[in-house]
Amino acid sequence: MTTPVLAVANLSVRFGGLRAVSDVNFTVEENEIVGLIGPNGAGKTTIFNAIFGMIGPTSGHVLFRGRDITGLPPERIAQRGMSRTFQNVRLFGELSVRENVMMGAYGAGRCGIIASIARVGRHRRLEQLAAERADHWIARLGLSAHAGMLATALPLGLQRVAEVARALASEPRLMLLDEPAAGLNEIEKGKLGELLSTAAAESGCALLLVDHDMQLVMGVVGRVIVVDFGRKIADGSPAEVACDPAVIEAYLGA
Amino acid sequence: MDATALAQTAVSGLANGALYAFVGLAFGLVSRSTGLINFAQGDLTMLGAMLAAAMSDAGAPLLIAVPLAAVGCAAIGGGFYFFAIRPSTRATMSQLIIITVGLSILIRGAVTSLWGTDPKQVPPFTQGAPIAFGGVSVLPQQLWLIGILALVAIATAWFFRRTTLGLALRASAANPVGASFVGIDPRLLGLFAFAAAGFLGGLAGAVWSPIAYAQVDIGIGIGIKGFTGAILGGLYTAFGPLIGGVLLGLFEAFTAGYVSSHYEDALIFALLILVLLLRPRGLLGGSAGATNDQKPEEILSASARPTTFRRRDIIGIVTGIVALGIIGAVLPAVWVSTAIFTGMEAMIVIGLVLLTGFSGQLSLGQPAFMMIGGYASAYLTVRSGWPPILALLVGIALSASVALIMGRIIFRLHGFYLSMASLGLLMIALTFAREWSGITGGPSGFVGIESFSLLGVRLASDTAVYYTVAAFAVISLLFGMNIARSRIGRALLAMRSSESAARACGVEVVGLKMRIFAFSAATASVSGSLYGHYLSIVNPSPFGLDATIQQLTALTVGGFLSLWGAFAGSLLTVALPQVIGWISGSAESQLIAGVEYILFGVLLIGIVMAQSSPMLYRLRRRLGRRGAASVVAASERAP
Repeated sequence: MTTPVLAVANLSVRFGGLRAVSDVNFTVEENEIVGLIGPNGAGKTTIFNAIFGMIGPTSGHVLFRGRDITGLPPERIAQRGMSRTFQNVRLFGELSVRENVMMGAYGAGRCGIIASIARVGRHRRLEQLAAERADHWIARLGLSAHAGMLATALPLGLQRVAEVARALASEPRLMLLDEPAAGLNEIEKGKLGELLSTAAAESGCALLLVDHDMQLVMGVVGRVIVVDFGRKIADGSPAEVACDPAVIEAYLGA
Repeated sequence: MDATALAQTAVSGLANGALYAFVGLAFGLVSRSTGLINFAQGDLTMLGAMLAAAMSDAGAPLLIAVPLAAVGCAAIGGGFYFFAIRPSTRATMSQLIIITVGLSILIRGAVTSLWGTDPKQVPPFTQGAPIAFGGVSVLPQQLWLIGILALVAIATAWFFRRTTLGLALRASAANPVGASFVGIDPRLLGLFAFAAAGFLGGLAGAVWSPIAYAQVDIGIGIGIKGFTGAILGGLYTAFGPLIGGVLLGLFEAFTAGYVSSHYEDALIFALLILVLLLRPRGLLGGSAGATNDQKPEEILSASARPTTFRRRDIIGIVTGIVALGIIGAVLPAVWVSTAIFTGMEAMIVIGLVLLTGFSGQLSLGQPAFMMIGGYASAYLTVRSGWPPILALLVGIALSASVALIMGRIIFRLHGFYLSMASLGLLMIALTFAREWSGITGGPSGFVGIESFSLLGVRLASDTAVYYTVAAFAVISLLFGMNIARSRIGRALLAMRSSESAARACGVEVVGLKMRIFAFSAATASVSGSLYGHYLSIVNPSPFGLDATIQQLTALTVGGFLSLWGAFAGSLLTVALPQVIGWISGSAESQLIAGVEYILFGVLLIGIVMAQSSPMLYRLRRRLGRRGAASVVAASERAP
């Protein structure tokens, strides 16, 4: 069996007395698209933040490509090949769309201030790499007409696409998407779903989608993990999960 | 040491501590309600003392003069918020703090013009000999000061716990947006906080002044000590500033009495840095890591910033080099020194553009790095006979190391601690320069520094110095451009819009800020070295806060994100005092000094307000968008 790209083992997060996440286990395999769903307050975002190093887990481990990344800061995790998008889109407001996407490739190599001042070959190669990747993903995701614009001048739907392009420019092995459908209309959701599937297939990266929008998730993912009250209650194909009594109760009952 | 002497020291420490507690409370009020550090807080205290003294000199009874002075300071504080801070809705935090620096100079300018720089004193509230408590003598005024502080403390507690306004203030500090939804107008609270802080500061100055003389330049020291006390106790807690201020007063008195009266100030600022390192939330502030009080920096530019070299940049650089060459050949002799000082200033401002403009960190202590460079060059060339270029490089290494160490401490914290901590660093550097005479030559400094030389060629004539400085300035500009127009420049701008998204892209935020701070320290250090070689002397006097203000003004005038603007801003700030000197001719020098301060203050406040007024911003943004739209159109037309 191959090593999963992401393995979450016995992950628990406490905020004071509150157990936001307790003892959650799951894996994401290479090239897999997985949805992480659950009702509001189920702990989805907390799991997400613990994976990406935004908060430290109380106990448990996060393994990325077989290596323990628990407790690493987000920038180190990013440099190892994981990227993410934000629920409330966070594009860089003073950069153009193209430069935003170029930022995605920032962690592709290390090259400090002195290397930049001296314009050493490594600096030039990194810049070229960033530009190539940016142009590639901008063209692939249909942003070419907007490449020179200030990123925050785009409508929300395109801002999300630009954020996905930025995340892809790091050539990640795993991309975390935090509620990518939030604030989009039906048509935009449909387009984004298609775009995510093709992007994942082309770049060979696995996706972990957090959302409570069932429509987008069910249309795109191959497997769904359902959490409620900080615990995993189901893990399986969309069809299986949809008829799981525990899931139905979490969403409709009580 | 006997008990009586110990108690005597404690009494004087308590009295000064009461002053710091007042000032710290005022800092806390403003920070808690607006997130700002009001740099003019110490000057408002100085103004309170001055106003009370002037009124009392004019025959007003103290019962009227003291409250009136406090109310006057409240009016200035409140008016300043209403007319300068509130309208600057698009200003970044650094810009807002710079506006408060503007107020600080305005106050100092006004006081200097009105009353000169001589010390003034308010008569004691009650006459009579010091009261003896078993061998410890206490001035009646010290009791007044401590007593009034106690009253203020009780009133503050009552205010925050029992009044609706106090509750609203706490609510708004905790969650401004939420508070505004339940009908609390944050602007009203800002107005209140600034007015109340002015009142506290003015009152403290008026009550404290009978113990010591008040002078126009005491404001800064009082301000930093009040701030240090507030940090020590917990800036964001209700009573932290009070307790911290009193503790700081005691610390100061005991170090002066039992450790060293020469290095007492340096020790206080060392304490500030230590507290920031170990317990950034203060003694009462709980132990949770860093504070989180930074609002995201607003966007400075209306259109996308270029982060790669364009043909325009290269044309600009070539034209600039040619222009500098021609200027050196044709410039009249009287202007050569102006050009030299402009070049030295521009190097520092280039560092500030990257540090303050690009990474959003405000340093008020750059002259400290000038001193490190200047003294390193002086010591190594005069005492050790080193070649100037080597000494200059040692200066760079020292400055950059200090910046890296300090950055490591400060940049872990969110917020605007760098502005105050760097000011503390400057005060430490000034203290060492004055007191450590074995190395620095004391107040009179190092004399007999030879002019700069390279490969054995001495560059002594004014023209040669001009070309040397121009060369270093151009190198600084090229280095700055290479940083700004690269992945680093993109990362800096990215970090300022969203630190979390930048980290998700793999940007090491703390490390990058540290390195940019080190770069800015290096350019300031080179400037200081060249300064020493040019004037053949270094002493502490040109590296005070006036230098900081000149640099900030140059940065503001030239534009926060413009490396080219550094030259224009520097030229203006270097030439302006000279022009004022010519115009005023033989007028009283004190008045000129005052007018100069006022002019710089107006410049700082006016320009920041103009840059951050919504109307102008919208206009620029619209123009920027049109530019972007035409780029898109052009790319679509291309085959």
